Amino acid sequence: MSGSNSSSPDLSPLERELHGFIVDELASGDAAESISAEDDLIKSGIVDSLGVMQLVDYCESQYGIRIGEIDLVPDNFRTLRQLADFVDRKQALRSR
Amino acid sequence: MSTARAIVDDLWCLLRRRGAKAALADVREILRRRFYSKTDQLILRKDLSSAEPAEPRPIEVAEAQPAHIPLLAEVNRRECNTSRTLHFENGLAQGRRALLGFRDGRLIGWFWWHDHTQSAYGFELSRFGFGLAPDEVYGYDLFIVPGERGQGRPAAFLAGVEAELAHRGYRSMLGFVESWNVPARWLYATHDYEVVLRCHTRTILRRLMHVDGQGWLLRGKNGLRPLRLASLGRRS
Repeated sequence: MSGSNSSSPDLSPLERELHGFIVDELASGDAAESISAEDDLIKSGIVDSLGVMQLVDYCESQYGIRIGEIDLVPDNFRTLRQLADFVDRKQALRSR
Repeated sequence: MSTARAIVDDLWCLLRRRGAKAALADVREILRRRFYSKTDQLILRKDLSSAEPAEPRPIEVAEAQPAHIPLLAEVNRRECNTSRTLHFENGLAQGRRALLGFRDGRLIGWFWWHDHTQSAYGFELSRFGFGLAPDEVYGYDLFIVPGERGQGRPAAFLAGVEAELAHRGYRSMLGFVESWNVPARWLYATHDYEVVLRCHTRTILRRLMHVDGQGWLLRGKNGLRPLRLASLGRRS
């Protein structure tokens, strides 16, 4: 199964990459493919206590950012859009 | 069975199942923590007034009883941790209380708790200056059986525990989580637990503790008390 070729037209390139990882590694079932940028990933159980660890590992290795303790708050991981914004912010901080 | 015997059995079990290298690494970590540990602890509070179990209830919650010991022993044996069964037996014999979670009749985890009437056993958060009101409860040592982690089961168990305690008349729950424990922190953060204090703690030989803002504390049978060098001198 691969979500990286998702047909979600409203997703930015970064959101599409994150969507691919989530569909491939965290979510399951047909509904996973249709995750939108604003869907609540925590409420749906996709980003649970184990999922968040996988997501942190993926973002750190894929985007070269360091996710610290203070970053581990639900508002950084709740939706694809919030997650992409968070990764963007961390990358911007790193490049300063 | 004695604690020493249980520890030897657990080490032998680890050695057989995971090999000498992994067993040695575990022993080193256990010894290191017994001698010295330092950690940031987040003190948490949850309002239980709106606590409700998920419906339909995927996890049944029951008060731990001595009759559950064989089930607990089975789980602990699978993990080479029979000394935890002794801890459970002793705890229940002393009147300590735990809630167990069951999924389709299988034990999936437990959560120890006490209210203000049992603070004599040592209210862990007293070291941070907290007390327990009559309608408050302290929850500690949440454990989820490894094979049951994920898929919303820990969250469902926690919701069941909260609903059970709310049903018994408690209005809020206090607890703490180590800052390095990402899964537990995430579980609490996504279930409306408020961080009321963050504290750096160093522990030596499991008895002597330094808490930022509180100074040195000594753990005794009745919990933690401030360490006063002058009183130590008088005793000796």
